[in-house]
Amino acid sequence: MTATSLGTRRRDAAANPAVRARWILVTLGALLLAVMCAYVMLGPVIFGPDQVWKALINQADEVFHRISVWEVRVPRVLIAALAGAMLACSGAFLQSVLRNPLAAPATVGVTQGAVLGAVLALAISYGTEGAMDDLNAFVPMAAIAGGLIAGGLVYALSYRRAGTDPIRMILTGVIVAAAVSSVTSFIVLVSGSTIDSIVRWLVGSLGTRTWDHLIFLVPVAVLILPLVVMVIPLANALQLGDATSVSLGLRTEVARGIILMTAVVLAAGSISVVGGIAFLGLIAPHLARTLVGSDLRRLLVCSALVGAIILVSADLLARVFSLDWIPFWEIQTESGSRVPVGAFTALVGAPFFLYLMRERMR
Amino acid sequence: MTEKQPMKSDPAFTTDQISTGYGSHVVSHRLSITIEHGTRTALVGPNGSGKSTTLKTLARLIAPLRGAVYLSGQDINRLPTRQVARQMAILPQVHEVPAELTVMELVEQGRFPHVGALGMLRRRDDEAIQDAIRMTRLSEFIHRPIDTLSGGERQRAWMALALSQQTDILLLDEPTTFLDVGHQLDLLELVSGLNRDRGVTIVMVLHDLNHAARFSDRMVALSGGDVVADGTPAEVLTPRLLRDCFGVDASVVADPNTDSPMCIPHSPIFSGDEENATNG
Repeated sequence: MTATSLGTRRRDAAANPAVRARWILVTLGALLLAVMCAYVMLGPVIFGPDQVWKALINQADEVFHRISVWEVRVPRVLIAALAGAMLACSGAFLQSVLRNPLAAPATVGVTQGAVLGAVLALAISYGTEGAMDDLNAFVPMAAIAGGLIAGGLVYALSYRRAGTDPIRMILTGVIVAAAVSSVTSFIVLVSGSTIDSIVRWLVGSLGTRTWDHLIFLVPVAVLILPLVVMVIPLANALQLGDATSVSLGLRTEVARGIILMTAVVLAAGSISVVGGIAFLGLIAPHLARTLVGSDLRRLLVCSALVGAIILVSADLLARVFSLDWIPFWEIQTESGSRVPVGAFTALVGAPFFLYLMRERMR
Repeated sequence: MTEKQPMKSDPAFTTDQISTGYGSHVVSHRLSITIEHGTRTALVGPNGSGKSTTLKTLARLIAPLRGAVYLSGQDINRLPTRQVARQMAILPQVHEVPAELTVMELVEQGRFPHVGALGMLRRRDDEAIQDAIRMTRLSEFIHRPIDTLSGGERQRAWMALALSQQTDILLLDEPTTFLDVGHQLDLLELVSGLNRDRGVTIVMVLHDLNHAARFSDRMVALSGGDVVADGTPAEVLTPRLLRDCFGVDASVVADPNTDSPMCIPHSPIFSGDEENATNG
């Protein structure tokens, strides 16, 4: 084999997105692990790796180490990673299947539906015996139901004799999202006093999230995973357009329905635990697409990793900014976390998304 | 394999007095058309004549409003769509290209009807993909995003997708519309080669009558949803058809190289009646 052919081959391997994607995914995986470790170590009290380890195996030097690591930071970081990944996967599916770069859980009404479900549950139970706070499993369930109903409503409203059409679906989604949001606002106004926990649902927060929430989130993720794997080839075919996917032997309407349902469950499940985190479901798939391209076999894994990294890092930053070292920063709520992570992603997400769109639409 | 092998004696397509159209808008009434295996058929006609609608009905992209399309003797809309996709590929007129999708990633999708639920590609699939890329001369572009290719290369990439499906029947809906003359000939040569070397049945909608005459064995002219002429290019491409169907005054001569008929349009003939027919 000559030197040139070796060189060509190496260049080919570098150009091959499948090969490049492998390295990108490994790197992202390592990065996720790194931010998750940082997340567990950093906080009001900074732990070294040895202290974290001791706390994990229940031999902490002091009791509060164990509580801080095992009861607070570990479940919260796991929730952040899982919820971020699910939200990003949902966005990736929606963008591919609706063939629209603006498609995301929040633009098809799923986010608003899930938030309405949660807010409704909180408002109804307010003032009753053992009033529900976020710790009750009834709230996530109401949220997931709200997301599913909103998703189903958008699908049904955009359905015509010939089936659904991506553009009609996005437009319907935007309208349903706006309508549902106004219902939520109304309920918030009427119910008055539960503002604090409701606001955290509206903007999305990981404050006070514990093992109880993770135990709710994990089954949703585990149940939906086989479906996610199964619909990847369908979504790959469907993103080539309806005519081409029929040519390839896809029952387009059935496939679109199944994929959308998968996306809705992913988003609703995620939102039911962390609330309506802004922009994540929109930005993570975009970033992933610039890294590994549009083939969903790679795009989906990459979106999941990017989504997890973003939400873990954002919540880490939100926690850091909530510390006392900034003297004029006195946002304090009844719960521990002062800046909800959703406020952070919204603040950073909007300009970043604008930048991303400008770059890609050159 | 449990699937029923198509009978060789059955034609590739027969339609039994179908009505086609979109919803309440009926394009054709009682259209009967038969297409034999191994032939090249060109559907021609003026805008709005129903040629694309007919092709889409054969392709099961739209269901006939009445009657049925039979693919090798079986009702195409009752067959499992994956099974149909192993017999017939379609090159649609317009394509959706996801941003950043590479040629290779596109062509791999052609194996969708052949692979299992998880979409894992096996050796046979890789061979089909390589073959399709070789035939369309895309080897140097395989890792390029499709939206960075030129129009001609892009159409070859979509052609490669259809080829990697490895079907006996290929339907093409105005495949040359957005190409320059060189790329038009290139694509039509490729299609004819498939028919000649592999016996692939070709049905295509073409706007260019001279291309249709040169690259098909049979031309079917439609007007207002009805077949107005059907036969060899020499039988169909006549001054009379050009006047009645397309509303142009034209002369027809023989191509000095291929001897196929060639039309030279001179001027349009407009009458109120004619215009209604072509816009229908």
